[in-house]
Amino acid sequence: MIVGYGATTLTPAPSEGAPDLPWDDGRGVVLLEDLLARLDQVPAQRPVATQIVRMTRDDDMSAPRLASVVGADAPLAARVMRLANSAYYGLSGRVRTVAFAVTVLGFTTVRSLALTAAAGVGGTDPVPPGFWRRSACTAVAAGELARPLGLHAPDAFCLGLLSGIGQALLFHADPAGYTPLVEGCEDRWSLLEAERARYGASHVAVSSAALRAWSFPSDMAAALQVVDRWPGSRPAENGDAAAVCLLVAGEVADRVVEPGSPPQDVLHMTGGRVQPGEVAALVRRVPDLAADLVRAVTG
Amino acid sequence: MSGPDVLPDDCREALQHAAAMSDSAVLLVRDGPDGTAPTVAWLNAAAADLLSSDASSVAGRPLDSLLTAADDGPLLHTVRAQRRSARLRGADGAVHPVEVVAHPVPGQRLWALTAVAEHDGGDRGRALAEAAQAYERRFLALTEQNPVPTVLSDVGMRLAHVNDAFARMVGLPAESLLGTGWLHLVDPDDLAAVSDCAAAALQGAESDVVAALRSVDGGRRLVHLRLAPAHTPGHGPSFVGTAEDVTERVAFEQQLAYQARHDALTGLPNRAALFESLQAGLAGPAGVDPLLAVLFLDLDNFKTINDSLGHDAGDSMLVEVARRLRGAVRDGDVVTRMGGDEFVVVCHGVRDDAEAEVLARRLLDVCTRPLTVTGVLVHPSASMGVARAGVSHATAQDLLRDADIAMYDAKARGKNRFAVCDDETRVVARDTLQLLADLRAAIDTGQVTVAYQPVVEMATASDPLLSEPLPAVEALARWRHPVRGDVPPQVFVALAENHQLITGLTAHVLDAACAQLARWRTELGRLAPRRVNVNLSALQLGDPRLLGTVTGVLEKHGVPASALCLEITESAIMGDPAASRETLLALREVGVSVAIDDFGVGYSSLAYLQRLPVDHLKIDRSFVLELATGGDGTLAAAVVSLAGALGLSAIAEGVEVPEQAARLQALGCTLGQGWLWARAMTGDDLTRWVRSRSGEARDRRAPSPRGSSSQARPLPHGVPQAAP
Repeated sequence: MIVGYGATTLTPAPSEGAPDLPWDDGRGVVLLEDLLARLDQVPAQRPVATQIVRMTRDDDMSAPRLASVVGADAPLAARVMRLANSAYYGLSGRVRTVAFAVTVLGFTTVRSLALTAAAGVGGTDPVPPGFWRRSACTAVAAGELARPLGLHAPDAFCLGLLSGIGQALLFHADPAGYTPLVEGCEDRWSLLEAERARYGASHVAVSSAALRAWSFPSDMAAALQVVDRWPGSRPAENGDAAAVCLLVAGEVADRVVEPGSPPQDVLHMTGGRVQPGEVAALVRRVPDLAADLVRAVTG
Repeated sequence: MSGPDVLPDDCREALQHAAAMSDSAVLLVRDGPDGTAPTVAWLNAAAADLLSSDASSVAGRPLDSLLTAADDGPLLHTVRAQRRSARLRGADGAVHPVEVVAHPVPGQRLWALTAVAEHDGGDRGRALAEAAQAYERRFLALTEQNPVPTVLSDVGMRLAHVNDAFARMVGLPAESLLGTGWLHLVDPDDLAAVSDCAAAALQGAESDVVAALRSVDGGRRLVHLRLAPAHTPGHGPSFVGTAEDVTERVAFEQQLAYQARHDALTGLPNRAALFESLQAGLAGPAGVDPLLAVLFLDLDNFKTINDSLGHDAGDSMLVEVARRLRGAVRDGDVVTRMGGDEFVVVCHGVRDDAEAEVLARRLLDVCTRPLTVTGVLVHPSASMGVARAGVSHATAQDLLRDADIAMYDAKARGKNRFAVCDDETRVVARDTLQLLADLRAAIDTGQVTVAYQPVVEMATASDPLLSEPLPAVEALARWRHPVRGDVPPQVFVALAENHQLITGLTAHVLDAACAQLARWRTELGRLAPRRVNVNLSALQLGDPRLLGTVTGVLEKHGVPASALCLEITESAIMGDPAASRETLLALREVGVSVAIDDFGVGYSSLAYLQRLPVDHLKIDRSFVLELATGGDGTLAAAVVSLAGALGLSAIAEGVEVPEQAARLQALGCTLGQGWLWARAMTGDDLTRWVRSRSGEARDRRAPSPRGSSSQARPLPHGVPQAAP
C-alpha cells in the first residue's frame, strides 16, 4: 500500500471484485486529491464555512471579525453558539453573542466546526453510523488528556473532533458502500483495515490529508499519521504527545461506544505515559459531556 | 471578488498600495497563458528586497524560477489557502528560507502569496512559542507554591491549572479540578455569579465575585474569586484567577453586621433593624402598607426595678419580656428593642384599630404576668402606644413618633394600659412637639428673656425717707413666642423639665441675671439690688454639674456668691431630701444663699427642714391671699414664726394690697414682693424704677412747701418708670 501526500496516490489493495468506486479513474489508482476535492465542491453550498476554513491560523484574528463571518452562516453560527453554551465549556446559557461564543471556543475550534460543515457533516447531513458520538467522545477525552501530556487542551479537543472527518469524506464519496463497511466491522481497528482494503487509505489517513490540505497546524496532521500507522509503529518515546493523546482518546471512545470491544493495552500504547486508571476514569466521565456535545453540534 | 484584471483601476491601485505598505513580501501570481507555468504579475517592495531585484525585472517571470515550495502538494490550490516552507532565490544567487502562504482569489486563476523569512516568521514564531512556554512554566512554578489559591483557565470555564493551595483548600487532587471539574465544587446558588464573572474575564474585563466552594470534607469555604483576563497567542482569551479564602473574614463581618442590627442583651433586632423593617413597609413598591401597625411598649417603673434589685435583675426582666413578646406575636411580626425598657413590635396584616387593640391587649397580658427576678416576685406593667400606618407616615420616624405619642398618652392615663393614636392625640402631641422645638430654638437664640421683680423691705418701702437698696430681685423667665404671643412660664418651664431642656433654660436665666446684676452694680452703685434670686428646677438638685455652672457664671460676671440666691420649691427638696441637702450644702459652701419657694404647701418634714442649709422661706402666695380676704392668717403667721424659730428670713410672695403688707409686718415678716410695689420688669426698666424711687426719696427728704406724706405710694404695676 502506498499512501503519499501532495500528488498523492492511493493504491487500493488488490481484492476480488474490486468495487466500482465513484472516483476510480479506471486505472485502479485513486487520487486522494480527488477525494479531498469533494471538500472543494462545498463552497457553492457552504461558502461561509469554506471561507472560515480557508482563513489561515492568525494570531491577529479578532473574535468580532471571525464572528461577523460565522454569523453569515446561520446553521454554523447556531452550532457555534450551542457548543459554547454546552456543559463542556461550563458557561451554560451565558454565551449570548456569536462574538463571545467565538471567544469562548477559540479560533481553532471554530475552524474545526467549519471544516465539519464544509465536509458535509452539518446538523442535518447524513453521517456514518455513530459518527458524532465517537467524534465527541474522542474530542472530550483528548481535551481531558491534553494537560498531563503537556498539550493545549483546545487543540487536543479539535484534533479529537476532526480525527474522524475522513470517515465523513469516505461516506459521502461512497454512500452505498461505506455504511455496510462500518456495520460489518467489529471494532475500529478492523474498520481501519477494511477502509485500507477498500479505499487504499484509512479514514484516519484521509483525515490527516484533509487537515493538511486545509492548512491546519501540521502537528495535527502528523499526529493522525502516527495513529494511522499504529500499531505498526509507535509514538516516539519522548515526543508525539499529540499522537499519544489521540491514541488514548480513541481507546476511550472505543470503550464508551463499543463496550464489548477488546481493550487495548494503554501502557504499551503510550509507552507508560498514560496509566490504565486514567483511562478508566475517563470512560466514566466522558459519556455525559460527549452526549452534550453531540446535542450541540447536531442541533 | 474580481481579479485585478477586472478591477477598476483605482481599486487595483488601492490594493497594490495596501500591499506596498505591508512589511511582508507580497506577490500576485497568475496562471500562465495556455496552461504554462504561473507567473508573477506584481510584487511589493518587501518582496523585491527579499529577491534583491527591481520589481519590474521580476514581474512576468515564472514563479518556479523564484520559489521552490516543499513537496507537500500543490501550493497554488484553486480553493484552499496553502502554507508551505519554501526557498526564495534572489537575483544575487542567495537562497532565503521562507514560509509562504498562497491565498487563491475565488473564481480566478490568481493567488496572493505572502512570504515571511523563516528567521522572521517560522523561527521567530517558534522562538516566541518557546518563550511563551518558558513564561508559562515560570508562572506555574511561581504559583505552585504560592499560598494564595490560584487558577488558570484554558478555554471557557475550563481550568488548565490549579495550584497546590487551591487543591488543599477544597481537599481534592489538582488533576480532578482541571477542565470543568472545579465547577462541581461551586455552590449551585453561586454558579451563575461565578459563570458571569468568568464570562466577563473572558471578554477582557477584570471581575470578581464572592462564592461558596464545597470542600471534599463537606465543609463550605467562601472565596473571593478575582479573575483577570489573559491571552495566549494563537489560543485565544483565558483568565488567571485567585481564590482568596474569606470564610473567616466574612463570618466575622456577618457577625459584626448581625451585632450592628441586633440587641446584645435580648438578641432582638435593634433600632437600626427596626427602621429598615419599617421603612420597607412604608416605602415599598406599592407605597405605604395600610395593614402595617406599630406597637410601642415601655415598661412602667423599670427604673425602680433597676435601682432596687440591681441592673442584673433589670436585664433579666428585659430578657424575659423579650422572650414573652417574641412568643406572643404572629409569624412575620417583628419584635425589636429600641433601647432601655422600650420595645417596638411591627405587625403586618392589621386591618383596623380593633385588630390592633386585640394585639396590644395580648402583648400587654403576656408582659404583665408576674415573674421572679433574683428571687423576688415582680409584677411588671407596661404602657403601650399603637399606631397604624397611613398616608401621613412618610418615614419610619413618623410612624414611630405616633406610636410614641400614644404610649405617652397611655402613661398619662395611669400606665399599665395601651392607647391607640387617634387624630386628636396626634394633633395635641404634634402641637406640643412643635412648641418644644420652638422652645429649644428660643433658648438657643436668646428669645427667652428674663424679667425681674423687686423684693422689698416692707418697712422702708412704705417710707421713702428710709429708702435703701433693694434687698433682692427675683429673676423670672419670660417667652414671647413670635406666633403664639406670651407663653405662660408654667407651660414652657414644665415643657423644658419634661424634655431635658431645663438645664439649658436655667443656665440661660442664671447667666442673664448675673450679667444684669453686674450691670446694675455698675449703673446704680449702692442702689443696686443686693441679691438676685434665680429659680432652680427640682431636676437640677441631682445634677452634679450644677455647682460648676453656678460658680462659672458668678466668676464670668464678677458677681460675688453672696449676691446670688437660688430658689427651690419645697416639693423639689422633699422629692429627694438627702440629695438636695448635698447640693444645697455645696452651694452654701461657696457662699450662695438658698430660699425655699412656695413654702407651706409641700408638707415638709420639719426634721429635714431643720437640717437643710436654707436661708429664706418664701411664704406661699395662697397664705398671703388669705390676709386680704378676711382669713385669720394663721398659716402665714405659722410660717413667719417657724422662720424666726429657725433663724431664717421670711419673704412674702404675691402681696397686692397695703392691708396684706401691714398684716405681714405685724406678724414680723420684713420682706415682700408683689404687685403692691412692682410687677416683674426688664432690667433696664428696673434701673429706671430704682432711680425714680431713689429720686422720689431725695425729693421727699428735701424741704417741701407742701410738706411730705408718710403714706406709701404704690408704683404702677409693671409700668416702666420714667428715668429721673
